[in-house]
Amino acid sequence: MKHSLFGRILLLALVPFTLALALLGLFWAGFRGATALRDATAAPPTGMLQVGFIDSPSLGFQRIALSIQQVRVNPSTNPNVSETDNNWFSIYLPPEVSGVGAAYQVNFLNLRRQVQLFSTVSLPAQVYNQIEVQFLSDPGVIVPSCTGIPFLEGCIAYGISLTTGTSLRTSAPVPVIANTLTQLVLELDPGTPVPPSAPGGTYQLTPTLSVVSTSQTLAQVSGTVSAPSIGSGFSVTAVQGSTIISQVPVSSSGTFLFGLPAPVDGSATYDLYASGPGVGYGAFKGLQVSLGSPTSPVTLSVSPAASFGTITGSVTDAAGNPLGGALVELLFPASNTSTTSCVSQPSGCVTVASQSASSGAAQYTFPNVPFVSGAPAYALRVSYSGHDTVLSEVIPPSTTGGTATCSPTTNASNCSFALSSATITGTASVDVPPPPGSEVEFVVIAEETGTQNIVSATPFPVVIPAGRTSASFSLEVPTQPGVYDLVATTLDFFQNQVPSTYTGHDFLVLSAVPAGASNVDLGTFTCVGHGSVAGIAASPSSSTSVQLFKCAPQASNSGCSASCALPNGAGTGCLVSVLQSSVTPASGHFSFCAPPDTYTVTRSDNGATNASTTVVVPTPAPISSPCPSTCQGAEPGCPGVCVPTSVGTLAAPSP
Amino acid sequence: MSRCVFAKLPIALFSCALLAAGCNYFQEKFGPPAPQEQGFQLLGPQGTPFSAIISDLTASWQVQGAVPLEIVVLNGTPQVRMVVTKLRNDSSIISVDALSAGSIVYSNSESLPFSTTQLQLTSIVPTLAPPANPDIRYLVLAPYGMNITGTIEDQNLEFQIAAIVPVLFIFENPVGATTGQFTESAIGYGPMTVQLFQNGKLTKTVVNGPNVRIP
Repeated sequence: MKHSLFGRILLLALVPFTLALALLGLFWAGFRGATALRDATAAPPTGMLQVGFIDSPSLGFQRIALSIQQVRVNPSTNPNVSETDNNWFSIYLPPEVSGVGAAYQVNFLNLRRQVQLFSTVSLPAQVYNQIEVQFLSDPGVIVPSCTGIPFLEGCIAYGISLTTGTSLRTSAPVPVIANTLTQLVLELDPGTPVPPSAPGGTYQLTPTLSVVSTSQTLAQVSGTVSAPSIGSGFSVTAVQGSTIISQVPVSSSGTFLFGLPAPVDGSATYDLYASGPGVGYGAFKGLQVSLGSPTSPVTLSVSPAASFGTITGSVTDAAGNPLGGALVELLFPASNTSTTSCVSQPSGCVTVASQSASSGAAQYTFPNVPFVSGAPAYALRVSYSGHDTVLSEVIPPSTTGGTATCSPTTNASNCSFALSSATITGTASVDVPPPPGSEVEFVVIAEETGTQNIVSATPFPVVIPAGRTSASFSLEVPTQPGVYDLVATTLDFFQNQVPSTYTGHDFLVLSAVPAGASNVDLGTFTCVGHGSVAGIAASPSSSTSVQLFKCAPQASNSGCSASCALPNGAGTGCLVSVLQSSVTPASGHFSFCAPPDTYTVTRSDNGATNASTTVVVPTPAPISSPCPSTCQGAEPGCPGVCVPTSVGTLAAPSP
Repeated sequence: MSRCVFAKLPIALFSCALLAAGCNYFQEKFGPPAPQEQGFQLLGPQGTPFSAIISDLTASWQVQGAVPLEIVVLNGTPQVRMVVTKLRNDSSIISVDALSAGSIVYSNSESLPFSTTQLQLTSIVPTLAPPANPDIRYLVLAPYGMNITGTIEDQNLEFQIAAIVPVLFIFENPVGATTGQFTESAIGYGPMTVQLFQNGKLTKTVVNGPNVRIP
């Protein structure tokens, strides 16, 4: 009896394992069967499909961002083909952006000027007729400017509800041709957002999806790769700086063709490089493209590699602290320039590969870098926010498979770097000490004096704790050019609950601060609430931008590109750029979320200032509940719901 | 009945042994499974640099790196906030997904130069907590884009993990030594690189595959 009971227990215990083994066996058999089937039947030819998005302009918003989980295509001609049909082919984000299942927020306002490419995948070559975009169940956020609706605060993030559900579908034939890149541009129009009817509600969107012509949205680029022989794996890559925009395969005859995003009202500039198995790089610098104007064919030459090696190392600051996220670019001279050294003439070189120093130890590795006999040397360009950029020549390893060294480097056996910087220290204050259980957090950014070129930011928020009125900050900046404008802004919660991108306190600005300055006083943050500025730039082009400046006290007024009279009449100061905005093509609309204050709004075209006006953004009427609203101000009450401010039309430059 | 069982016992035991070896089922366990982890996923153009501070109600962690990166907090409070600053002067987007139990529950993004964005899970974290002490982190660097599974455990808790490389696991307030075991979800991706950081110092790097145990 005892044995029998033991046997039953053992049997019961083993049943799951036995079943699992049986299932494993079935799976294995099925897997082998599938493999055999694939072996017996030739794999269908495949082609590449690249998907991009473009949008119709939507006005009055700082951001309309939808989280796209995937795009799907289906060969069925039935527009109502089931969501669970087996012939849907998913197009996820590429692994270099993230893994399968991730969602990617697309800001519609970034799509209004040119196509944003989403992903490229390999698919069976056939005609696909159904296209579907799938959003997350929490589909995104929308940030309106100040609306004028009494209960609807502007410059904060609202949730979105889609009247269409989380899938959006359209029908159009998309032929994917074997061994060819097909491009598909989808117009994703958010429609007119409907504001919530009561506090706490979401914006309602009814987006539409349609296929638009690639000839009207992408600039066609063609060319030839010259090599001793071209096999599979050869490609041409288009980059802007270190960012890969698109990559296409090279045909066996050496030709390539692709479409690159270009603005509807101007041109875009790309660098190209060719690469392939067993060869070095061939690079072309500064290809300018525009819609409807085919470029001259580009020729890229590659030569067989004599050896391969690894470029590896680490990036630190001058004190040896790792700089995780530092950008390491591998530069190679472009054939259409006279550059022979990327260390002395980096402007004539193309970034043919890039790596980011890892989080934590700030290490990087370029594996299998091809080295061609007699070719110009590679250079590494190493950069990080707030630090000086280093250029270093790569010295090939003595044997193939070895590790390259660099000159200069901080480690003779590899390519490691220490980036120098200068430190600016100081303080900022707040008008009302944060109450117990709360704090005021702020960040400080540095821009080259008189420009909008931001070079650094405090990496983490600076905290003014409860009961205190000030805090010290430390900011790393490059040693050159050596003079900076500082802008400080707080990170505030709306109604003490929702983290807000837009500050409820005013901006603090200081001009012409030298690198290495200590104990600078940025001033005192005042809780003022939200505000917004909107207007129209007449007859805009792709080079038109609008900047918002605030007047900063500056004793000597040296180093200013534009001076201003201080609001209190205390003397002259410098204009410091606090925000910048692109403008909507054709209509010229622009808008900012900026806290109540006095600003100068300027319009620039091709970098030249053409129009300027002063605007006062009013402080919202105070409320007593809920309090705090955007921030905790001086009694009585708190800033109420913001109101919009218009600056009218900024004139176009004279012809 | 008993005879029948014992007659089949060698086969059954062999089956168990096969399963144990093949699926790595019988692993050392220090404690019961712990609650699901929470975290964030930073997406955007590859290489976009950022700095971030993650804070729950009791501890905070500073992270510097580049997109993409998944950050998972183990053994933290349900309330978590992250403040992310993009460290690049361009209009590239940084899109941040807040993850709870491996699912995306909220997304936010920012594209202004050197812009800052915030996300929080569950409810407000009104103040940034002091830096974690001890600060224990596992960073899985390679192979890029690979799904990994495994466990991270201390003397009391074991966390089942599943993530996409590169991923940073933060273990809050561990009891005693911690152990991380990581397994690649597919073959042919090459070895895995896992680093262990203790209080800001890189203390161990293991390059192996398809399984890594550290330390």
